[in-house]
Amino acid sequence: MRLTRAGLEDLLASLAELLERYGVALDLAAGEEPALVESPSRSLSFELRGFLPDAHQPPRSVLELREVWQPGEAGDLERRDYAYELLDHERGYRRALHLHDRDWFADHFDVVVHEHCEQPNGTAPCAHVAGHPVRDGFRAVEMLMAIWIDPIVPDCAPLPCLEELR
Amino acid sequence: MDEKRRYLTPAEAADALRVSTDTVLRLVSSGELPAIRVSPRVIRIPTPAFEAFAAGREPRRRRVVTRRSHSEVDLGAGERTVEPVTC
Repeated sequence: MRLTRAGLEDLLASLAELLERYGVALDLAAGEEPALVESPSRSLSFELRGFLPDAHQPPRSVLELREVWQPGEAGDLERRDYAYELLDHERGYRRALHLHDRDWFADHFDVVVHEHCEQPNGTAPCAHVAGHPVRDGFRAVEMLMAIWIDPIVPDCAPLPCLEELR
Repeated sequence: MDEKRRYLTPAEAADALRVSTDTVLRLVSSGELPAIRVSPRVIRIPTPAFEAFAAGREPRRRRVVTRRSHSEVDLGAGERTVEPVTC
């Protein structure tokens, strides 16, 4: 997935809009806007975080989208890493879809992406679960919302454990 | 505290909005009302999305700002590597 800088700004604004359309209260202070953060290596990253209204006040369901984009040879930007997370504290459940430390995961498990599943929060039958690459943040929102609305809290135990597949 | 129900069916949404189910499905299809297709024939509308729509809350287009950081972002830095449970 490659974008221009303007395209990345548009993607971030669109993701914020989608989250708000889903009723997510973005974790932004009054007057604060979503930010692209430029690092010394000219990578651009963002973090969008928000709360899903549940039966608690303040809400205890948190959705987070984080991405890191690096400059490509053609001057465009390519998504390098992502971390999409649902922290469902109301039901004591965490699900995370991750792409980071590609070389380490390739060396250890022959994969580049992995997931986390904890139920209850902080308790995982497996440290790293096999996953599929997530096309983009929009798809991640759909996947995590589908988990959040599921009346049955997903069971982490049957998910394929990378440590056991090694 | 009891959990709040987290989704509505299209028929429930139609009932609450006093429109037909077809109208709700059109809103879903146009993207005005976000919904999750949980199977080829089953659509669920997340309650927060429905409440935002029913309240007429239209998200405004956010302006994206740029900030500079003195360090690189490492998404794996805070990763919890929980030891597998062996029992």
